[in-house]
Amino acid sequence: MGKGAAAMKALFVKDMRQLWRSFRLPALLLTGLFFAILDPIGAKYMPQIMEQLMRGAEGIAIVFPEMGPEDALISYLGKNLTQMGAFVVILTAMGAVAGERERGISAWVLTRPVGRLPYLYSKLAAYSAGLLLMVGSGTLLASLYTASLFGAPPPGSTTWGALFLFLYLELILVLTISSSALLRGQIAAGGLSFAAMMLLWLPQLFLERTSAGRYMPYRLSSLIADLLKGEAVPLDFLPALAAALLLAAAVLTAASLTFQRAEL
Amino acid sequence: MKAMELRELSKSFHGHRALREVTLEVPQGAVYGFLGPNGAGKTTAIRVLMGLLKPGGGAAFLLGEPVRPGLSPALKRKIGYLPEEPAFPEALTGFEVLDFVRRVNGIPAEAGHARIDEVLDRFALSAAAHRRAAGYSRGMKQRLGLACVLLPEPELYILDEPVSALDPVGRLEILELLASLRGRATVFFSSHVLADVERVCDRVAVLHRGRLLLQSSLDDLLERYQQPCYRIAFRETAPAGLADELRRRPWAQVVENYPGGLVVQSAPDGLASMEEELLPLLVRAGAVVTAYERQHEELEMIFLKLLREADGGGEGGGGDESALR
Repeated sequence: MGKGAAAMKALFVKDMRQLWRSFRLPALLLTGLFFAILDPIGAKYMPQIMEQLMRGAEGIAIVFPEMGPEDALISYLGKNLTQMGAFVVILTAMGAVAGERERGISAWVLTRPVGRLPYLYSKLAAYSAGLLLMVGSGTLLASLYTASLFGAPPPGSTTWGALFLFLYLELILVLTISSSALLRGQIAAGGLSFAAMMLLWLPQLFLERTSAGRYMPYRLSSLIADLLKGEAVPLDFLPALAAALLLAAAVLTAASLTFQRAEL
Repeated sequence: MKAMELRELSKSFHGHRALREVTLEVPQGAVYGFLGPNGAGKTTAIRVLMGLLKPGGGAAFLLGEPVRPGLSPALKRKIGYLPEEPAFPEALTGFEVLDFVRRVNGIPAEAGHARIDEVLDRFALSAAAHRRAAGYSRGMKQRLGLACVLLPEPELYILDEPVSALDPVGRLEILELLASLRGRATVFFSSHVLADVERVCDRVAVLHRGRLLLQSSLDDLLERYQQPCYRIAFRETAPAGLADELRRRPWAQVVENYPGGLVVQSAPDGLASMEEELLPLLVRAGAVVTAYERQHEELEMIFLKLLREADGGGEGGGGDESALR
């Protein structure tokens, strides 16, 4: 192994240890697992719960459609993990670089024989691994639990849905790590990431049914429900995926160039 | 090739000039003391050298390579840097911090782990090796920082106040260790503790208000600035008005009070007159003298003199001087 690769490996091992011991990785995993338990059971018993709540209310009749395994996974992949997952990603990753700069840790690490870009990309790789574990373990548990309550969910669309959710959250992660590298304070980095996430979602209000809407990165998450219902196919994600990749590459390049020249 | 070179290096923060055209050279193999009161600009100069701050003007070179933000890993492999208050990755234990340093320096595991045990033992950290470094005391963090610097055995050590958090025994041990590196590696360390510098350095530079006042070998400095002086102790206190009376004499350059006594330093070419007149003057003043001893100035006196000269020659050397020990 070359010295550069050995340094990158050392940085990655260090960052994974830090993620685990600072409870950031457990927080990601628990978020994934919490909704993996909550959403299938919610989908199963929501009609009964609502029926109990509405008992005695005369003249009101609520008819719930028959719930299936895809409804449980839409609630999990298409709604709760999309929204809460994005918040948890921002909260856990906003201090990745900015927090270490504030405390002088980045100055110590970066005066050892490591480059600034490997330092930045190692953080991205470690958080990405955490994100993969969150989406992967959560989807597996949600699928198994859904299968026990409703019957087996469609494996193909579930896997694709999980992959596109991971890619959407990865975009949020790139925006957060880049903000953390660009700004000196972790609160400012978190604020910028949150604002960027809102900007990603804003076009949904007026571009959802237009051809331009197909290229909006938010479609990586909003199309998941259609995919699970059988109303979309993985190829429908391609325009949004390409736009998300371009956006992530541009933001990460800007953050890398700035961080390379930054004062620490 | 010089181990370190600064050419008219400048740095400003929001209009405050922290470094003003500093030019200095550190020869290879030297133990070099970088002196200055608190706020003189020592840490700023070191942070520019380590590529953590951008210079506002001028240039700097380490081991012949130009310094720019983010030094190359190849250059950093030859340099051991200790910040004034080292901050380690928070979740790692002391052993893991050292193992990280071993890995990024490309030291093989077998030899590296033996070396880690050696430095842990040398810096009395073996018992705390598997505790998180973030929970260490300030002194332990400084010792771990020094262990990290020494582990890869670099060519150039850049140490910012390396013994500031250590107890007297630890301080002496580290200073002896730094002195033992003379000739094998270059040691550049900042300090405001003059006795430490005098104990181990062969060359010094003095920085004050961002400006380099001098750089010289320690021997030349002492020879050039040292003036003989007499230390006088009294049974009680010095008679009233004695110090002022002495200050009026042309042969007395400096008269300093200390508890229970005075130090009188001769003016250049005034030693003979001082030796003839001082003792009779004390007798006439009715002083009961319990000790009368000729001494040479220590670095501290020279240092204070330099700062006063830089501040305009008056007595008011500025509050910075109180930061010197």
